[in-house]
Amino acid sequence: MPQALPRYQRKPRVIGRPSGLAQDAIGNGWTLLGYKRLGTAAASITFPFPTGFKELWLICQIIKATSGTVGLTINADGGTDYDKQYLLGNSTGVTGARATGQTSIVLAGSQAIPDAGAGLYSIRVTKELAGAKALVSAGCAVFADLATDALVVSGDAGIWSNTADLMTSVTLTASAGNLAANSVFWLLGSL
Amino acid sequence: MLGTLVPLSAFADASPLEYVGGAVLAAAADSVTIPVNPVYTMLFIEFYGINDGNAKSLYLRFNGDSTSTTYSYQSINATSTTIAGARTTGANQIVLSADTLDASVWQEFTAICVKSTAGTAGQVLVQSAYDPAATIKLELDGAQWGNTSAPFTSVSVVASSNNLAAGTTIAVYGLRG
Repeated sequence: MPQALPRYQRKPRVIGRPSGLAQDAIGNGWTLLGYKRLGTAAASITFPFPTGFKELWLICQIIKATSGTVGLTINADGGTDYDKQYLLGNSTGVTGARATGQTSIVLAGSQAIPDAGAGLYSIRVTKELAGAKALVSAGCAVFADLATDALVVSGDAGIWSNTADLMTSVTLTASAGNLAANSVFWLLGSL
Repeated sequence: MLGTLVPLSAFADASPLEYVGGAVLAAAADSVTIPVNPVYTMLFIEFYGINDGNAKSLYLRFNGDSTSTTYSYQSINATSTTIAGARTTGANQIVLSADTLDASVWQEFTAICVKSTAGTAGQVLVQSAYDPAATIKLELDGAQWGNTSAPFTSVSVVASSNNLAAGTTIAVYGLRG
Protein backbone atom coordinates (compact mmCIF):
# COMPACT_ATOMS: atom_id res chain seq x y z
CA MET A 1 0.00 0.00 0.00
CA PRO A 2 1.58 3.27 -1.02
CA GLN A 3 2.56 5.59 1.77
CA ALA A 4 0.82 8.93 1.87
CA LEU A 5 2.99 11.82 0.89
CA PRO A 6 3.83 14.36 3.54
CA ARG A 7 1.16 17.02 3.56
CA TYR A 8 3.37 19.62 1.94
CA GLN A 9 4.16 17.30 -0.97
CA ARG A 10 0.60 16.45 -1.88
CA LYS A 11 -0.99 17.74 -5.01
CA PRO A 12 -2.01 21.34 -4.46
CA ARG A 13 -5.67 22.10 -4.35
CA VAL A 14 -7.37 25.17 -5.66
CA ILE A 15 -9.28 26.36 -2.67
CA GLY A 16 -11.36 29.12 -4.04
CA ARG A 17 -10.75 32.77 -3.92
CA PRO A 18 -11.47 34.81 -0.86
CA SER A 19 -13.43 37.95 -1.35
CA GLY A 20 -11.90 41.34 -0.97
CA LEU A 21 -8.38 42.51 -1.47
CA ALA A 22 -6.73 39.19 -0.72
CA GLN A 23 -7.53 37.85 -4.14
CA ASP A 24 -5.10 37.94 -6.99
CA ALA A 25 -5.48 40.87 -9.34
CA ILE A 26 -5.95 38.50 -12.28
CA GLY A 27 -8.69 36.64 -10.55
CA ASN A 28 -7.09 33.53 -9.14
CA GLY A 29 -7.29 32.69 -5.49
CA TRP A 30 -4.51 31.61 -3.20
CA THR A 31 -3.90 27.88 -3.19
CA LEU A 32 -2.44 26.25 -0.13
CA LEU A 33 0.66 24.57 -1.54
CA GLY A 34 2.11 23.42 1.72
CA TYR A 35 1.78 23.48 5.45
CA LYS A 36 4.10 22.17 8.07
CA ARG A 37 4.40 22.38 11.83
CA LEU A 38 7.76 20.93 12.79
CA GLY A 39 7.41 18.03 15.18
CA THR A 40 11.13 17.89 15.69
CA ALA A 41 13.92 20.32 14.97
CA ALA A 42 15.20 20.48 11.40
CA ALA A 43 18.03 22.34 9.71
CA SER A 44 15.81 23.35 6.79
CA ILE A 45 12.42 22.91 5.23
CA THR A 46 11.60 22.64 1.54
CA PHE A 47 8.24 23.03 -0.16
CA PRO A 48 8.11 21.62 -3.71
CA PHE A 49 5.25 22.68 -5.97
CA PRO A 50 4.22 22.55 -9.65
CA THR A 51 5.77 25.04 -12.05
CA GLY A 52 2.46 26.73 -12.79
CA PHE A 53 2.60 28.87 -9.67
CA LYS A 54 4.25 32.18 -10.42
CA GLU A 55 3.52 33.97 -7.19
CA LEU A 56 4.23 32.55 -3.74
CA TRP A 57 3.34 33.76 -0.28
CA LEU A 58 5.23 32.08 2.53
CA ILE A 59 4.13 32.89 6.06
CA CYS A 60 6.02 31.38 8.94
CA GLN A 61 6.84 31.69 12.57
CA ILE A 62 10.29 30.23 13.15
CA ILE A 63 11.43 29.34 16.64
CA LYS A 64 15.11 28.89 17.34
CA ALA A 65 16.84 27.17 20.22
CA THR A 66 20.22 28.34 18.96
CA SER A 67 20.93 31.75 17.49
CA GLY A 68 21.06 31.97 13.72
CA THR A 69 19.75 33.66 10.61
CA VAL A 70 17.31 32.18 8.11
CA GLY A 71 18.08 32.06 4.39
CA LEU A 72 15.74 31.52 1.45
CA THR A 73 16.69 29.63 -1.69
CA ILE A 74 14.66 28.71 -4.76
CA ASN A 75 14.82 25.42 -6.69
CA ALA A 76 17.61 24.23 -4.34
CA ASP A 77 19.96 26.66 -6.09
CA GLY A 78 22.93 27.16 -3.75
CA GLY A 79 24.96 29.15 -6.26
CA THR A 80 25.83 32.83 -5.96
CA ASP A 81 22.60 33.81 -7.70
CA TYR A 82 20.92 36.01 -5.12
CA ASP A 83 20.99 39.75 -4.44
CA LYS A 84 19.27 41.48 -1.56
CA GLN A 85 18.49 44.89 -0.10
CA TYR A 86 17.05 45.47 3.31
CA LEU A 87 15.87 48.15 5.71
CA LEU A 88 16.17 47.26 9.39
CA GLY A 89 14.62 49.04 12.37
CA ASN A 90 16.19 48.40 15.77
CA SER A 91 14.91 50.77 18.46
CA THR A 92 15.57 54.29 17.11
CA GLY A 93 18.12 53.10 14.60
CA VAL A 94 17.22 52.36 10.99
CA THR A 95 19.87 50.91 8.71
CA GLY A 96 19.99 49.57 5.20
CA ALA A 97 22.38 47.42 3.22
CA ARG A 98 22.70 45.68 -0.11
CA ALA A 99 24.53 42.45 -0.87
CA THR A 100 25.00 40.83 -4.27
CA GLY A 101 26.18 37.44 -5.42
CA GLN A 102 24.87 35.67 -2.34
CA THR A 103 24.14 31.96 -2.00
CA SER A 104 20.77 32.69 -0.40
CA ILE A 105 18.56 35.60 0.56
CA VAL A 106 19.21 35.98 4.27
CA LEU A 107 15.99 37.36 5.70
CA ALA A 108 15.18 39.92 8.38
CA GLY A 109 17.99 42.24 7.43
CA SER A 110 20.45 39.45 8.19
CA GLN A 111 19.32 39.66 11.79
CA ALA A 112 19.82 36.41 13.69
CA ILE A 113 17.05 34.97 15.78
CA PRO A 114 18.65 34.79 19.22
CA ASP A 115 18.68 31.75 21.46
CA ALA A 116 15.12 30.88 22.43
CA GLY A 117 13.84 33.62 20.12
CA ALA A 118 11.43 33.63 17.22
CA GLY A 119 10.91 35.31 13.89
CA LEU A 120 7.74 36.13 11.99
CA TYR A 121 8.16 36.23 8.23
CA SER A 122 5.79 37.18 5.42
CA ILE A 123 7.55 36.54 2.11
CA ARG A 124 6.22 37.13 -1.38
CA VAL A 125 8.09 35.65 -4.36
CA THR A 126 7.13 36.40 -7.95
CA LYS A 127 8.54 34.97 -11.16
CA GLU A 128 6.06 35.47 -13.91
CA LEU A 129 8.00 34.16 -16.88
CA ALA A 130 10.88 31.95 -17.81
CA GLY A 131 13.55 34.43 -18.85
CA ALA A 132 12.77 36.75 -15.96
CA LYS A 133 14.38 36.95 -12.56
CA ALA A 134 12.42 36.08 -9.44
CA LEU A 135 11.69 38.99 -7.15
CA VAL A 136 11.33 38.59 -3.41
CA SER A 137 9.61 41.02 -1.07
CA ALA A 138 9.46 40.27 2.63
CA GLY A 139 8.48 41.79 5.92
CA CYS A 140 10.11 40.25 8.94
CA ALA A 141 10.01 40.73 12.68
CA VAL A 142 12.54 39.05 14.90
CA PHE A 143 11.91 38.71 18.60
CA ALA A 144 14.77 38.30 21.02
CA ASP A 145 12.72 36.02 23.17
CA LEU A 146 9.14 34.87 23.10
CA ALA A 147 8.67 36.15 26.62
CA THR A 148 10.48 39.46 26.32
CA ASP A 149 9.91 42.68 24.46
CA ALA A 150 13.09 43.16 22.45
CA LEU A 151 12.37 43.02 18.74
CA VAL A 152 13.46 44.36 15.38
CA VAL A 153 11.56 44.76 12.14
CA SER A 154 12.76 44.70 8.56
CA GLY A 155 11.67 45.08 4.98
CA ASP A 156 13.63 42.87 2.64
CA ALA A 157 13.89 42.72 -1.13
CA GLY A 158 15.68 40.03 -3.08
CA ILE A 159 16.41 38.76 -6.55
CA TRP A 160 17.05 35.25 -7.75
CA SER A 161 18.98 35.82 -10.96
CA ASN A 162 18.22 32.47 -12.57
CA THR A 163 16.32 33.29 -15.73
CA ALA A 164 16.13 29.82 -17.22
CA ASP A 165 13.79 28.03 -14.88
CA LEU A 166 10.38 28.53 -13.41
CA MET A 167 10.07 28.02 -9.70
CA THR A 168 9.52 24.49 -8.43
CA SER A 169 10.48 24.71 -4.78
CA VAL A 170 11.37 27.12 -2.01
CA THR A 171 13.62 26.30 0.94
CA LEU A 172 14.29 27.98 4.26
CA THR A 173 17.54 27.07 5.97
CA ALA A 174 18.95 27.96 9.37
CA SER A 175 22.48 29.31 9.27
CA ALA A 176 23.27 27.67 12.60
CA GLY A 177 21.40 25.33 14.85
CA ASN A 178 17.99 24.18 13.66
CA LEU A 179 14.50 25.40 13.04
CA ALA A 180 12.99 24.32 16.33
CA ALA A 181 9.94 22.16 16.94
CA ASN A 182 6.63 24.01 16.66
CA SER A 183 7.97 26.32 14.00
CA VAL A 184 5.03 26.68 11.64
CA PHE A 185 4.94 27.34 7.88
CA TRP A 186 2.22 28.04 5.34
CA LEU A 187 2.99 28.31 1.63
CA LEU A 188 0.32 29.79 -0.62
CA GLY A 189 0.54 30.07 -4.38
CA SER A 190 -1.22 31.95 -7.13
CA LEU A 191 -1.22 31.05 -10.80
CA MET B 1 -12.84 31.70 -12.44
CA LEU B 2 -13.91 30.41 -9.09
CA GLY B 3 -11.76 27.71 -7.65
CA THR B 4 -13.02 24.48 -6.20
CA LEU B 5 -13.79 24.64 -2.53
CA VAL B 6 -11.98 21.89 -0.70
CA PRO B 7 -13.69 20.62 2.45
CA LEU B 8 -11.73 21.32 5.58
CA SER B 9 -11.68 17.62 6.36
CA ALA B 10 -9.09 17.35 3.60
CA PHE B 11 -6.72 19.33 5.78
CA ALA B 12 -6.53 17.63 9.14
CA ASP B 13 -4.03 20.09 10.51
CA ALA B 14 -4.12 22.99 8.10
CA SER B 15 -6.62 24.84 5.96
CA PRO B 16 -6.89 27.13 2.99
CA LEU B 17 -7.00 30.85 3.56
CA GLU B 18 -10.48 31.36 4.94
CA TYR B 19 -12.59 34.41 5.43
CA VAL B 20 -12.98 34.82 9.18
CA GLY B 21 -15.08 37.93 9.34
CA GLY B 22 -15.33 41.57 8.50
CA ALA B 23 -17.32 44.74 8.82
CA VAL B 24 -18.13 48.00 7.11
CA LEU B 25 -19.17 50.62 9.62
CA ALA B 26 -22.56 52.09 8.80
CA ALA B 27 -22.14 54.68 11.54
CA ALA B 28 -19.18 56.12 13.40
CA ALA B 29 -17.84 53.96 16.23
CA ASP B 30 -14.89 54.14 18.59
CA SER B 31 -13.74 50.65 17.61
CA VAL B 32 -14.49 47.62 15.48
CA THR B 33 -14.07 44.07 16.74
CA ILE B 34 -14.09 40.87 14.72
CA PRO B 35 -14.60 37.61 16.67
CA VAL B 36 -12.12 34.90 15.73
CA ASN B 37 -12.54 31.15 16.03
CA PRO B 38 -9.53 30.01 18.10
CA VAL B 39 -8.69 27.32 15.54
CA TYR B 40 -6.96 29.99 13.49
CA THR B 41 -3.27 30.36 14.30
CA MET B 42 -2.59 32.87 11.52
CA LEU B 43 -4.71 35.94 10.86
CA PHE B 44 -4.43 38.24 7.86
CA ILE B 45 -6.12 41.58 8.47
CA GLU B 46 -6.97 44.21 5.89
CA PHE B 47 -8.14 47.54 7.22
CA TYR B 48 -9.16 50.75 5.52
CA GLY B 49 -10.47 53.43 7.81
CA ILE B 50 -11.09 57.10 8.33
CA ASN B 51 -11.05 59.28 11.41
CA ASP B 52 -13.77 61.70 12.31
CA GLY B 53 -11.62 63.88 14.55
CA ASN B 54 -8.11 65.16 15.06
CA ALA B 55 -5.16 63.95 17.10
CA LYS B 56 -5.70 60.26 17.22
CA SER B 57 -4.01 57.00 16.42
CA LEU B 58 -5.20 53.54 15.55
CA TYR B 59 -4.74 50.75 18.10
CA LEU B 60 -4.67 47.02 17.43
CA ARG B 61 -5.67 44.67 20.24
CA PHE B 62 -6.37 40.96 20.63
CA ASN B 63 -8.99 39.25 22.77
CA GLY B 64 -10.12 42.57 24.21
CA ASP B 65 -6.85 42.75 26.11
CA SER B 66 -6.25 46.42 26.92
CA THR B 67 -4.95 46.31 30.45
CA SER B 68 -2.12 43.88 30.69
CA THR B 69 0.67 46.02 29.21
CA THR B 70 1.74 42.96 27.26
CA TYR B 71 2.17 44.63 23.91
CA SER B 72 5.44 45.79 22.44
CA TYR B 73 6.22 47.05 18.97
CA GLN B 74 9.04 48.27 16.78
CA SER B 75 8.38 50.59 13.86
CA ILE B 76 10.10 51.99 10.81
CA ASN B 77 8.41 55.18 9.70
CA ALA B 78 9.17 56.97 6.46
CA THR B 79 8.04 60.42 5.45
CA SER B 80 9.69 62.26 2.58
CA THR B 81 13.46 61.81 3.04
CA THR B 82 13.25 61.07 6.76
CA ILE B 83 13.30 57.53 8.07
CA ALA B 84 12.91 56.92 11.78
CA GLY B 85 12.69 53.94 14.08
CA ALA B 86 11.00 53.57 17.43
CA ARG B 87 10.38 50.79 19.93
CA THR B 88 7.71 50.76 22.61
CA THR B 89 7.36 48.12 25.29
CA GLY B 90 4.84 47.42 28.02
CA ALA B 91 1.96 49.01 26.17
CA ASN B 92 -1.77 48.33 26.34
CA GLN B 93 -2.06 48.04 22.56
CA ILE B 94 -0.12 48.10 19.34
CA VAL B 95 -0.17 51.66 18.01
CA LEU B 96 -0.34 51.50 14.24
CA SER B 97 0.66 55.05 13.38
CA ALA B 98 3.71 56.77 14.78
CA ASP B 99 2.08 60.07 13.96
CA THR B 100 -1.37 61.06 15.12
CA LEU B 101 -3.96 61.42 12.42
CA ASP B 102 -6.10 64.38 11.52
CA ALA B 103 -9.77 64.34 10.72
CA SER B 104 -10.76 62.89 7.36
CA VAL B 105 -7.46 61.09 7.01
CA TRP B 106 -7.57 57.54 5.81
CA GLN B 107 -5.27 54.85 7.00
CA GLU B 108 -4.78 51.52 5.32
CA PHE B 109 -2.94 48.62 6.84
CA THR B 110 -2.43 44.92 6.39
CA ALA B 111 -1.34 42.75 9.29
CA ILE B 112 -0.05 39.21 9.63
CA CYS B 113 -0.67 37.79 13.10
CA VAL B 114 0.65 34.38 14.19
CA LYS B 115 0.30 32.57 17.47
CA SER B 116 1.56 29.15 16.59
CA THR B 117 1.24 27.21 19.80
CA ALA B 118 0.25 27.45 23.42
CA GLY B 119 3.12 28.93 25.38
CA THR B 120 4.12 31.35 22.66
CA ALA B 121 3.28 34.99 22.36
CA GLY B 122 1.26 36.42 19.51
CA GLN B 123 3.49 38.01 16.90
CA VAL B 124 2.43 40.62 14.41
CA LEU B 125 3.79 42.23 11.26
CA VAL B 126 2.02 45.34 9.98
CA GLN B 127 2.47 47.48 6.88
CA SER B 128 0.50 50.68 6.75
CA ALA B 129 0.08 53.89 4.82
CA TYR B 130 -1.58 57.06 6.04
CA ASP B 131 -1.68 60.72 5.30
CA PRO B 132 -1.49 63.03 8.31
CA ALA B 133 -1.72 66.67 7.28
CA ALA B 134 -1.25 65.76 3.62
CA THR B 135 2.18 64.26 4.27
CA ILE B 136 1.86 60.64 3.24
CA LYS B 137 3.66 58.19 5.46
CA LEU B 138 4.76 54.60 5.18
CA GLU B 139 5.16 52.46 8.25
CA LEU B 140 6.33 48.93 8.97
CA ASP B 141 5.75 47.48 12.42
CA GLY B 142 6.82 44.30 14.14
CA ALA B 143 4.89 43.67 17.32
CA GLN B 144 4.28 41.18 20.04
CA TRP B 145 1.25 40.39 22.17
CA GLY B 146 2.79 38.81 25.24
CA ASN B 147 -0.15 36.65 26.22
CA THR B 148 1.19 33.11 26.03
CA SER B 149 -1.85 31.19 27.21
CA ALA B 150 -4.77 32.14 25.00
CA PRO B 151 -5.31 31.65 21.27
CA PHE B 152 -6.70 34.49 19.19
CA THR B 153 -10.42 34.90 19.90
CA SER B 154 -10.94 38.42 18.59
CA VAL B 155 -9.17 41.30 16.93
CA SER B 156 -10.06 44.94 17.51
CA VAL B 157 -9.06 48.17 15.84
CA VAL B 158 -9.64 51.06 18.21
CA ALA B 159 -9.51 54.81 17.75
CA SER B 160 -7.37 56.39 20.45
CA SER B 161 -9.92 59.19 20.63
CA ASN B 162 -12.95 60.29 18.65
CA ASN B 163 -14.35 57.66 16.30
CA LEU B 164 -13.79 55.57 13.24
CA ALA B 165 -16.06 57.14 10.65
CA ALA B 166 -18.76 55.38 8.67
CA GLY B 167 -17.29 53.49 5.75
CA THR B 168 -14.37 52.13 7.72
CA THR B 169 -13.77 48.61 6.47
CA ILE B 170 -12.05 45.59 7.95
CA ALA B 171 -11.65 42.04 6.67
CA VAL B 172 -9.97 39.18 8.51
CA TYR B 173 -8.76 35.96 6.90
CA GLY B 174 -7.31 32.98 8.69
CA LEU B 175 -5.19 29.87 8.38
CA ARG B 176 -5.38 26.91 10.70
CA GLY B 177 -2.51 24.75 11.75
